[in-house]
Amino acid sequence: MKAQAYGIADVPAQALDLSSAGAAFVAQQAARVEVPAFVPKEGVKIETDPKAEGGNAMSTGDSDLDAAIDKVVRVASAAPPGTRLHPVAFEKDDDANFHMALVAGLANARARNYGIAEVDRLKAKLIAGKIVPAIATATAAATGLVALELYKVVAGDKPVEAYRNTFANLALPLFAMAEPVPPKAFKHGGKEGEDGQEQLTWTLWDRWTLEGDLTLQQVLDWFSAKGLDAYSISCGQSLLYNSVFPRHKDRLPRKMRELASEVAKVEGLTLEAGRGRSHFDVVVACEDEEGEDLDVPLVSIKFK
Amino acid sequence: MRVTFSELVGARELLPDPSSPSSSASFLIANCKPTSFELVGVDCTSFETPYERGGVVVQMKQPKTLAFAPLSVAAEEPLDTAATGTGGFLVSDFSKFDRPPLLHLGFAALDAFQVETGRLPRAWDEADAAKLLELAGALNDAAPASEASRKVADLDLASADSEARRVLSALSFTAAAELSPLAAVFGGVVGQEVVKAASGKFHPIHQFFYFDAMEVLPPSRPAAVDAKADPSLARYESQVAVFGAEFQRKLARQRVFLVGAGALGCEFLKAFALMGIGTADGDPSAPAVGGTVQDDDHPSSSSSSKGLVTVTDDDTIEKSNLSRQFLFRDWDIGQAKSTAAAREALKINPALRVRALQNRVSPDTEAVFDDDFWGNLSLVVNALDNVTARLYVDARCVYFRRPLLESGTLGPKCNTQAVIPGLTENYGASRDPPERQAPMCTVHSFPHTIDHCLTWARSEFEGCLVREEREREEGGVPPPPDDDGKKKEKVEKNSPFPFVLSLRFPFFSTRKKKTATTNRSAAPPKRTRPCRTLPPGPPPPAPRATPPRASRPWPSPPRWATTPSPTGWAACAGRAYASRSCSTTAWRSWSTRSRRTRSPRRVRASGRLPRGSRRLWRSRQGTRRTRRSCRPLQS
Repeated sequence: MKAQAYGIADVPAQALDLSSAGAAFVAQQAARVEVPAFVPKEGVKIETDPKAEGGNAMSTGDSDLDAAIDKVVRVASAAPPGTRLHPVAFEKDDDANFHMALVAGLANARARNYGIAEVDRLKAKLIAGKIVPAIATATAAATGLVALELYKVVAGDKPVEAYRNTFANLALPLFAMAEPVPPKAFKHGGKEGEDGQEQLTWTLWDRWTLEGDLTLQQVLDWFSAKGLDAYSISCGQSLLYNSVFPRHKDRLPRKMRELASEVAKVEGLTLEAGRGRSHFDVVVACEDEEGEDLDVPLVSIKFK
Repeated sequence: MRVTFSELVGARELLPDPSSPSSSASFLIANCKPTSFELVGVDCTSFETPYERGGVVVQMKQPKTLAFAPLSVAAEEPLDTAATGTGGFLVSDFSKFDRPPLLHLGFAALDAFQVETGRLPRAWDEADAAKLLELAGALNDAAPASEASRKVADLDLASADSEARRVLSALSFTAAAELSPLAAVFGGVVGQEVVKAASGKFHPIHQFFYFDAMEVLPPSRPAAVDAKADPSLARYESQVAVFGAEFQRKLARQRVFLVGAGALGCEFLKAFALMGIGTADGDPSAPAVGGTVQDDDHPSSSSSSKGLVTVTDDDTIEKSNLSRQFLFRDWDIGQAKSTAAAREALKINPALRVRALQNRVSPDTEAVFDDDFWGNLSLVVNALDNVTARLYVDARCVYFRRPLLESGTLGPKCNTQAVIPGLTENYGASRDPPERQAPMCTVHSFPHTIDHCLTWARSEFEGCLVREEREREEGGVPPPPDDDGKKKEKVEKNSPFPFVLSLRFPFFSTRKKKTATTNRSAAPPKRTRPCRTLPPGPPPPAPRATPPRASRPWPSPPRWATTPSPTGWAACAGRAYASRSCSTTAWRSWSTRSRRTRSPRRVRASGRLPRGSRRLWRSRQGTRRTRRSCRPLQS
């Protein structure tokens, strides 16, 4: 494989022999390699933090970058002209490419070092190849159950009690069917026994529609009338307003429609009748009186 | 429980004899505690080498013998009692706990009906239903008086609002029809039973399994249940008999987005073709002409009566797909899944209007799947294999208020979830614990399972043969020709976290967005040694080799074979009956994985459960504890 990666063509044919003769040849060649005695390295730091991810050890400072460029130039100038390297792409299903043989061999050698039970090639392939078990029977059952739900969706008038979510394990066998869980209901304001504010209830499926060609201030007022502090309004990927930016205060008297078309580049926001869009959606982040974040519905502004 | 030992230091007497590897040295243990257990009947003081440390204890599956009664006996006395010892009825839906005995009676009555009249009850026919009820009443009265009897106590078939009357009438109304979804469910269930009988693996259905989906039925008799009036409905005769002609036309007008054309996707396309979904071409007077829809078929108000199935998948067909992705054949290997699946679905039903795309559904393709596209959908069906994409589609469905039907499989397990705007929670509302990967330090320095060794070996493979060469190549020589450039792009596309999680809910607060923004694929790889890098996530998959299309080694595809469909399926209910038809020895090797026993545990000698088994145990506890926790699986 190394030869393949470096484009070396004259690999002895015996080395590519899949039979035991080939293995014997490779073993014979390998036995001639002198392995230096193991000497523990000095000053090695062994990571023992289970939370450590791959990325922490390397910084991306300029000095590292320069060192890397230097190295690339050095390696490139040392290589004979025309050198081309061929990365080997791991392919688990081809026994003739020796990929699984290498991975299983390495893993079992390491397992032997650490006193872990070794595995055969097939088991190694299942784990290293991340082969997910899948049987046509479970697929047929799942899609059949979904298609039954599809009838209910198309009927359009079924209550939540008519739907079923299913978990099944055909091996046990186990079937656990249950009604879907209703969406989480959010509530705000209007605590019992208090008059004044009406209680707001919503789920993630709701939309709040504000009618009229409103200014930003009017939208904020609409929220504060409900006891909500809207601190941030965005449209698509663009931020139309955030209370932490002093300059956004200038936008308060402006129309939401203008902001959406200038800042968020929403097209077709014209007041002219019969043309363009009649509404646009904004995402509002807000807090209640206690400063707790509330997930409020998407706000649709119907400006004409 | 009986266990086997491995990886022990000392106490060699407990290990299997290395000279005969097939011999299993199993031992009885008792008094299992978090940090200790007792070896029963073993004198540990007589060991040649005393136990030092380490070791893995694996619980052995115990043989289990099941009693089955022949159908002639079980039909009369189906219940599980001390006397019969059979499994009785397998209950699928605890909100319909009383249903199986009732359906048992109903199917017996259906048999009696057929014997007497030579036919099944007609669709939604009140007279036939009355006759079936009468037969059911008589059969129930004639049931044996034993403890295991099929007799339904307090059977009330007289009052109009009784449950028994409602269920048995529905059985009669729909018995003559077949529904392909129900056939698919039973095909899967019975197919697995066949695999069990042939392989001796897993636990069989212990005698009776009844399943009904009567919730799909219209509340009352639909207006036109005879498809003969409209020739275009002829092929959907069975479905029309259950739901009526108007419902069939509604199915035809559906605009469905099928996300994925793999194992689930193939099944869904087949189901849509059989059910006649997306077959309406907008002109009720002309015969339906389906086909592949190439153009960007955004319906304006004028063409909204056209049905359409849009299927997308950015994957190509591989050989290992062919065991279950049944729309594909050998000669399709290398082709785009969606195109091949759409082509085959059209052979099943030429009236299907299907559009096949090769776009991955992600924030990168919102120009393809734009507001108009989503706005014109009536329904979204997920056939995905990863949680990230599921969450993304879920978020889009919430945004556009579109119903989403979600499903997944893992081995013999499957789950389904309906996400209905306004009615149910969304898919993302409840989340599975993320798949845990072994920490880097474990893989690097403290491996203790073969999985750790294999993960390390894979990273060595990448480090030795892929990354090092690629890095040198990129710096040392001019960029290679296009194909390598494409490979690189493919690798990046396949990185495990291609989407930014913050895009899940576009209407959530910006504060949350910031904390939720994690793109792990962007993390630079850790360097432990020069030119040896561990991949930050799973190693990138190998680029697929696409065989040249010109020289196909395969014969040309055979003509689509038409097989007669099985008859006698009741539309909204079915039954499976298991009988002992193979030798006792085959049963003996069945696992003990019944609902009362946990899956085999691997207990470290230190007493801690390894990660995987704990998770499995916890999730199975969950499904038992709360009926609603039908959690999606990663598959």
